[in-house]
Amino acid sequence: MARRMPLVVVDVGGDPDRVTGLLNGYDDVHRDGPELAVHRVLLDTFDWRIRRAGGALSWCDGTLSWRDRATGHIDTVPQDDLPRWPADVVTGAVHDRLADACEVRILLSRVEIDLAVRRYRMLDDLDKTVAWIDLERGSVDSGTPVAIMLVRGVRGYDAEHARLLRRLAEDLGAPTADCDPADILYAAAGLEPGGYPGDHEVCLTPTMAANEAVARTCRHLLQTMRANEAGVIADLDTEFLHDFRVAVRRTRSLLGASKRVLPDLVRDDFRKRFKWMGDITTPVRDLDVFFLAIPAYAHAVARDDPAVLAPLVDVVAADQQAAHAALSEALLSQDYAELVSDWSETLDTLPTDDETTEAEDPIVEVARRRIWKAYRVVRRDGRAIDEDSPSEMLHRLRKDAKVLRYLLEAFGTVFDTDRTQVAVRELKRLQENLGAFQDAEVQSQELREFAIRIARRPNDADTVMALGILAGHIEQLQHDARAQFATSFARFDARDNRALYKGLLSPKAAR
Amino acid sequence: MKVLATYSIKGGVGKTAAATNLAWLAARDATPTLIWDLDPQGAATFNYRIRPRVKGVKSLVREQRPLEKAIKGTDYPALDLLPADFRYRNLDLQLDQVKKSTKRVARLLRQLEDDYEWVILDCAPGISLTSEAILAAADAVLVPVVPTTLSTRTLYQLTAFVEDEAGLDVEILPFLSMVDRRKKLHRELQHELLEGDPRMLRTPIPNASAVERMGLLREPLLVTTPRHHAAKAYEALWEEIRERLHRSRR
Repeated sequence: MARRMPLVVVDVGGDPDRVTGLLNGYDDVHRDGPELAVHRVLLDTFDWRIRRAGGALSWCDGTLSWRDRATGHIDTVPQDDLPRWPADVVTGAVHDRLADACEVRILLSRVEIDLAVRRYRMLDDLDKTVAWIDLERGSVDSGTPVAIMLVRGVRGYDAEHARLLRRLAEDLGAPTADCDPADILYAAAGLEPGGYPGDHEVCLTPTMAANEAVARTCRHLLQTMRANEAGVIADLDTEFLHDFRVAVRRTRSLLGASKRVLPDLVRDDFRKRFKWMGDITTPVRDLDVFFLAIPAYAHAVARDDPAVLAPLVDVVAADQQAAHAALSEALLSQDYAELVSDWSETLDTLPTDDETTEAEDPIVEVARRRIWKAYRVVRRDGRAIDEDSPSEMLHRLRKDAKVLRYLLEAFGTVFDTDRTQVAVRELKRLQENLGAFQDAEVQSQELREFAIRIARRPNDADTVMALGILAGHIEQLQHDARAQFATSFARFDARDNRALYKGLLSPKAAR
Repeated sequence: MKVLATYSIKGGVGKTAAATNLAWLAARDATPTLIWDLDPQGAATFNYRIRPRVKGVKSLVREQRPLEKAIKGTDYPALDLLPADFRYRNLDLQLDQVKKSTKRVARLLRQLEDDYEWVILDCAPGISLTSEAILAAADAVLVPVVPTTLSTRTLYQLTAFVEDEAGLDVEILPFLSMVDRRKKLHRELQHELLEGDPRMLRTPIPNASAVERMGLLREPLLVTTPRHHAAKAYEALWEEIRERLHRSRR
């Protein structure tokens, strides 16, 4: 849609009464209708994907609007209720932008506000509207008052719009700088859009003591876990648990790599307790992954009658709910609360003993040794895999690769950042291949169990048949991933990539 | 983008009143709509309180200046208007100077394909090169027919022109306009036309002073007196047009 009206948004939070007085005094500006009460909601995902995609999504009295923050262009769509998922929005520009930005994430209400809107219109000598002015006043939940003036032009009357803005700027004694209305509301609500702990890089310096660097990184991971807890318990979308699990896994990898940096007693204790956290989250995550894959499976094996997989959806959903209940219980337990508080205290006190001989070493040195070791483990275990190797070896390699990835990501900033990014990118390719293999393996096993249960139920013969075809399809996916492994690993183990690690981890490469 | 033309060989038959109100109805649910006032008299432009002036008509026709530069927003969010200009009276001459003149309006409208879902062309009466180019650009032509002998006759003249002379593939959708139920002739001809011509839309637009007052208030009837029976008739007519176009698409 190429229709664009110039729109300037002015934050008049300081003195809205003065603006009202000014507008009432203009001969060519007239009130248009009575004051309206509107309810506006700003929506975004938990990790601000809409914001990061350059948009601002708002819902107001039956209309959903996507504002492009760079151009100010607004797309709208009628929407009776607040959408939770992109699929709740009818097909069109707003839906497409949402689907691209949010993927599997749920939309959350980030700010809600009741506004009183006074509309004015500026008329020309033919009594034709040549500009619109909306003065919106209200207060966010915290009680902070908000006042926004939206000065909207009318197509073909740009000069009149510009003249009005100049006049307002002169009379207000300040330039009518264009703002993002979302920014004004977020600021009033005390929210920092984009502030998701999972995205922030931990600030480390190469000379920082190793135990301090580990603690700083782990504190950040703990923050990510805590930020996602409520979403995991409420089961809002699958990414809360995904991010929570990644933070747990990274913590475990760091604990594993912190020999001689943290006391063994401390490490062993927390490794056990974080393993419990990892274990309790695995069934839900596996079922989430299965659930997310069902539409693709339906497309692959039951395109003509996707409903045939409905009993499978029911079984997976029921298992997911049961596993989720157990997980929620664990997250609300005393054990978890103690894990969080004990870990937090440990990170603050940074205990040492006779064995922590590397605690005070510069992190760049310790990280170099650990990453190099993790890299060699991946290389060794990968090279040992041939066509006849059991799948357990690929599974172990997948874990090795995760450790290497987490170490690279945790401490990459103390090395050459560009090279670290290349190393992560190459490693990611290998991980994707191993992940596809592992997911297919897990799902084959799960599918078998689901099929046995569904086969016991009457009237689901067609579904059992479809599950048979699906089992073959998943087996094929696993076979494809297995066949691709040699190429994926060869690329990881190629001369260039080996040189990259050597260059990255050589003493000269330290920042 | 669907292009409708309100057109009649005869003048004073309620063509511009229909264009003004139908365009507003098309845009009512935020559907991007453009009304292009191609009648040099500029009545639709006047109804929307816009100055009847277009910069560089000649360069617009020659595609040296994009059509969108001439578009004005109306007082209604989804409705824009391409104003009339008195120089449109020379449009025939300007079209005559370009290649494939009868396809020129369609070609110009292609510039706006992504911007609007509905385009309503309000045409001047008479048969000319301009009207032929407009008819060639339209998916359907809405023909107001006052139930009088002369008005009815022009409908058949138009049909003959479209089908036999110009050989255009445009759907003709006639509708009864300015119907005065108090007049016997109107009642008889209305019955005859509705029964005898399957193309005829079923909703008649009544002859009402409220429609004439539109020129005084300079707003669509549906804005000033939305409950008036004539306003209701335009609403019903618009629904019927949409339904007919939907059916012909199928």
